[in-house]
Amino acid sequence: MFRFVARRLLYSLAGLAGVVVITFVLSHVIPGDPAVLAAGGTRARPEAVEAVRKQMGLDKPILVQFVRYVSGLAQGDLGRSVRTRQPVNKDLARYMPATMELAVVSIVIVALVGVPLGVLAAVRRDGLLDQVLRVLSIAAVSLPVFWFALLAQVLFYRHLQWLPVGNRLPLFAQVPPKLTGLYLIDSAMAGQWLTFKNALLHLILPALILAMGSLAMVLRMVRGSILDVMRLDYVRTARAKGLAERVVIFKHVVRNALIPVVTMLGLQFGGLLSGAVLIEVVFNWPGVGLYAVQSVVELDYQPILGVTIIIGVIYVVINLLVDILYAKLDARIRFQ
Amino acid sequence: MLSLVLVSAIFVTACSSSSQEQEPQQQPDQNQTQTQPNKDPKSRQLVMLIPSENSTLDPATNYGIGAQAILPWVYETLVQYTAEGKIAPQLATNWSVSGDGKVYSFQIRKGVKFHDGEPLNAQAVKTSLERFMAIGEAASYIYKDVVEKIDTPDDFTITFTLKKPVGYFLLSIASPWAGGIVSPKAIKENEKKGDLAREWFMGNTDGTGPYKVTEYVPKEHSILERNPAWWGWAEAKNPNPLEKIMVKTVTEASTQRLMLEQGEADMAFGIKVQDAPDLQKNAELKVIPVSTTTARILAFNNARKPTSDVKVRQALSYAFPYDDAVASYGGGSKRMVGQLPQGMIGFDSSLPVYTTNLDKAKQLLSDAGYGSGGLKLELVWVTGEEDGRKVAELWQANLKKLGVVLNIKEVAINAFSEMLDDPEKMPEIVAHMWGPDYPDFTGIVSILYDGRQQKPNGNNMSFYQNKQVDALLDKISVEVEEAKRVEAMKQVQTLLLQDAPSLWVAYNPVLVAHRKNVQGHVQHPLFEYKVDFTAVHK
Repeated sequence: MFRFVARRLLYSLAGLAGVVVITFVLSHVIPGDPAVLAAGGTRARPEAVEAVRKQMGLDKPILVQFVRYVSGLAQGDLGRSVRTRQPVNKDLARYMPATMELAVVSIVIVALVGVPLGVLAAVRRDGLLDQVLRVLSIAAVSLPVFWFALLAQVLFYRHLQWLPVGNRLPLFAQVPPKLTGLYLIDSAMAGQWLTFKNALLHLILPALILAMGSLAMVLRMVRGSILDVMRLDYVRTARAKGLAERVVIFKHVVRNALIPVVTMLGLQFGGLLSGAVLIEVVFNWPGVGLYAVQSVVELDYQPILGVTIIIGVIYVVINLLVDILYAKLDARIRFQ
Repeated sequence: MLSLVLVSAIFVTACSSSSQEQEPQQQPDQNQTQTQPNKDPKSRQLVMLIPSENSTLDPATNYGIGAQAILPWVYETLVQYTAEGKIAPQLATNWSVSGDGKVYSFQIRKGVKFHDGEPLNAQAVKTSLERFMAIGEAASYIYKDVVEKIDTPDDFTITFTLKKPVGYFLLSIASPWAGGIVSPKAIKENEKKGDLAREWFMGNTDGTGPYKVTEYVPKEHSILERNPAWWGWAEAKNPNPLEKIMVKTVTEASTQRLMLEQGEADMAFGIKVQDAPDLQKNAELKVIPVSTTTARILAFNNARKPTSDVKVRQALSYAFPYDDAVASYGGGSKRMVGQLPQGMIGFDSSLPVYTTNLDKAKQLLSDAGYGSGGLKLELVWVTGEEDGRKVAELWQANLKKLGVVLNIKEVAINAFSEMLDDPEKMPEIVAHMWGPDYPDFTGIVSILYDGRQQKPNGNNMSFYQNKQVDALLDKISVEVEEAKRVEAMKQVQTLLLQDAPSLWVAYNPVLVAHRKNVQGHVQHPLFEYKVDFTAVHK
């Protein structure tokens, strides 16, 4: 297994290096001057733009900028944002935990709700529940997520007044002492249960809306996977032996049917991380999605690269963990 | 099944507990005139929502519109531009100008202290402004371009010797971007590797203002807390001054609206103007449609055919649907008359305006050689400016009747700014907005139409050149007698109307809305996000 992991890491590093080079080149050939945007846009005076350009090292030749960036990268330095003037590391440390927390809670919802509903839909195939879930799943992947988000705000915040409109905590609330940046964990570790409750309240709506599309896909996949496995000989044999249907489903079918779902959940998590931007805008969630989009719009090279690298690393780690888990779940699979 | 129960339990618990989290704030009687201090602690807190972020707190580098909401209350300038449109004392109590208009002398207010306790004096002002000029970003040109030297003849007198007379000097240094005065002690203690403490001032503040920033989360919010030692509280006569103010960035207009309606926010500056009729029905809200001084302009490319032909530009100006455009922008949007907003020195309501007249447009096109069609133009605007696109489509329809093809294209901001630098790359028409840094003719017209300030060396993005206009602009810049300045301004505006280097449409509307219990707010005529927190109370 060690050789497998080492080889995968090596291939992944090579892939990431390629992504860094391509992203660096692309962000420099796209029309636009980040110094202009950082200096105040089209109203900025030329001398102010030059001052920003010099201060941020953008006056150096591209090759020099690239070499500087790569040597900084080797020391864990992701450079500095032209727009925020902050080190990208600092910006990511500030914004990534919010997106991570949102994505983690969303994937938990996807797993805890999508998997059981998928099982139910398969077991009660073509029944009323299955039909309803089919329609809801199609709606969840077809309808725009920002529309759901706005609707949810109007319903749960404005009319029912059950949940907050957005943000991570109530205004003026003290944030918990920083350990991970994930408020649920940090507040629990500090024993600040009111903050924990507030953080959870604020998370529910954006996490649910973010989870919707993935939940629908996982639900349909679980359903399909269970139906596939139920057709296999060994399941027929188990039934023929007189085992209770419940035992057949939960002991023999589900475990094997969930193997491909594990892979999907891993990839979905990566997708949730990078796709959270619309949710972040509507719910005013201070996450990395919005940071990344604004960096792209304003051609802020180093945050673009920084976010690309971090998301890339996360995808690599998730894929690796999923592969290892896959082998653990399925005895037929051996590391090659 | 267990997992479903778990998730449902969390949801139900959250909802049932939400009444604690959503406990309504106790609001004072909104009809009661506030003459007595309000004892409710929440009445001393205010939440203001803006759609723009503040990426830095440094007055030397913050050139964003969000700066208006925070910086003037933390960092003060020598003089200020009030909501009544007047220049008033701030850190300077009085001033004088030499006969030749080149030397400005200010008396510094005594007894003022920075937030760190250090006293304000002339040297402190000089140090701060020298830092501003050395960094050279944002609106530092206000000082850099005009000041030859700064002297401090005594502890409380500072003099500026200008390179040449500048008729608008006082107006320009009252700008919220004019480099508020920072503490020299903070500069000295926090400077790293000669950076003039830039790193520190990005996320920290140390000024003389009535408020100081005690919490700053970039792109999210700033919390300002009252500085009880501020020199102006007695003069402010505020019965219930705000102790804590949160200026929060919320980019989504619908979220701002919901927060305001539910009372989670007290003031909102980013709700869509089209929502005004609905909001006005809400008895708990006061809605103020504002016509800002940010102008919506369509710049022609004066350096390249066909728009280098004045007849073509005039024809396009007559073909524009002005009334429909202003109606489309909604809110308090006002049609532009001349190139200055109403209330600014030099504004002249008697100036002629272009009106929609397709017959005249047709005649002019014929005179220019396009009587039988063949004119193709491209109009570019920045992504996200939906109002601009709608108006462009209305214009496109009018032009089609004249046989003119107008292609409408949107581009991202980064590409937009690059295409303005070269007349060969710039399309025939570009939609942009312009808001002045300070309330003077030179902050608008000179910047946009001085032939020597063409892009990329300046902000003349229409590549317009008229030596007669340039000479008049020079005169306006150095003339200190107001009557003579105004006369020259009228001449320039008349010439510009004749030459039509741009098409001046309307002023950008902004919807300002606040809870009715927020009192004392007077909308600033120039800086729409500048709320006088020293006057506001609940």
